[in-house]
Amino acid sequence: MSSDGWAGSFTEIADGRRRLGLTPMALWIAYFEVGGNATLGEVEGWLAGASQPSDRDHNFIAQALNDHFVELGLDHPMRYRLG
Amino acid sequence: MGDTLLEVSRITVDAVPAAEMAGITMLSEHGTPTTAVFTDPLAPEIDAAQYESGAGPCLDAWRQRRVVRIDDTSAGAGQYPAFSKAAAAHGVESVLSLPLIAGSNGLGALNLYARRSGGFTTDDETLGLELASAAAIVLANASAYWEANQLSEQLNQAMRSRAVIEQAKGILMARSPDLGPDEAFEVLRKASQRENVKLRDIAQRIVDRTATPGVVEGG
Repeated sequence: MSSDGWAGSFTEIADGRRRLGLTPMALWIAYFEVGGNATLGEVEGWLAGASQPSDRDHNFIAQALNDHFVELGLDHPMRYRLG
Repeated sequence: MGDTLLEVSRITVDAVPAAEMAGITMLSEHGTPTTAVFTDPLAPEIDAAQYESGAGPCLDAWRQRRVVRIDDTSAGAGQYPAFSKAAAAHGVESVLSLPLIAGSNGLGALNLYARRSGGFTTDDETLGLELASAAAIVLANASAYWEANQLSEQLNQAMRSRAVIEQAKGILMARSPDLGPDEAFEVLRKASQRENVKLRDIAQRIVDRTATPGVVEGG
């Protein structure tokens, strides 16, 4: 279960992507779908740890993953950050 | 793509004297080998034996990216017993399987069948490989096209969903002037989390209810 206000690293997000078996492109499409405006290259940079997303982008990515987890019957395991 | 590959198969049958039918082994949409293209319905019937047993000339030509020739299916029973039995039962005595290679990728195999033993020669192998190269180019480009087509469809779907989400954010902002785009997203995001449904479904509900006169959405 997710909890608001978490300000941890992006590692959890990267792990979530791997658990879902999403390619960076698939994650980027899902991120774009919920409102993200970063490029695929920027998202790949976040996943590689080369840069950090803003709280806003982190939450778009978390939402994109959680939407996939909902399909699997899981309740929002990716945590959000407070802006 | 299927029509082009079928045409290549027919040309190969015409060009190789002993070949009486041809089939192309490739991955099905389920990720398993299948004879997707054939000049005679007997070809997939014969091939089914090797897909079931996991051993056969078409599979070896594909996996090992080399030509596999069986001059006498009864003599080849030791190597591919299930396939050889099926081939013999259908009157096929010799088989030539040619790998379909694009770059360094094995994409499948072009398989030729003859009703007499020793039907295929070294010259047939050379000619068959040339034609198999043409089939491989068709297959590789079709795969690239298919992937691009799939990506395009996914982007279109994402764009449609995003439009609904942005519309729902606009509705929330219109109702509550203090809300900006980020705050409106938070409203949607929290509703998604609270109800454990996708964000776009929450957004769609808001849009639908707003479009229905007399229905007020609670957020």
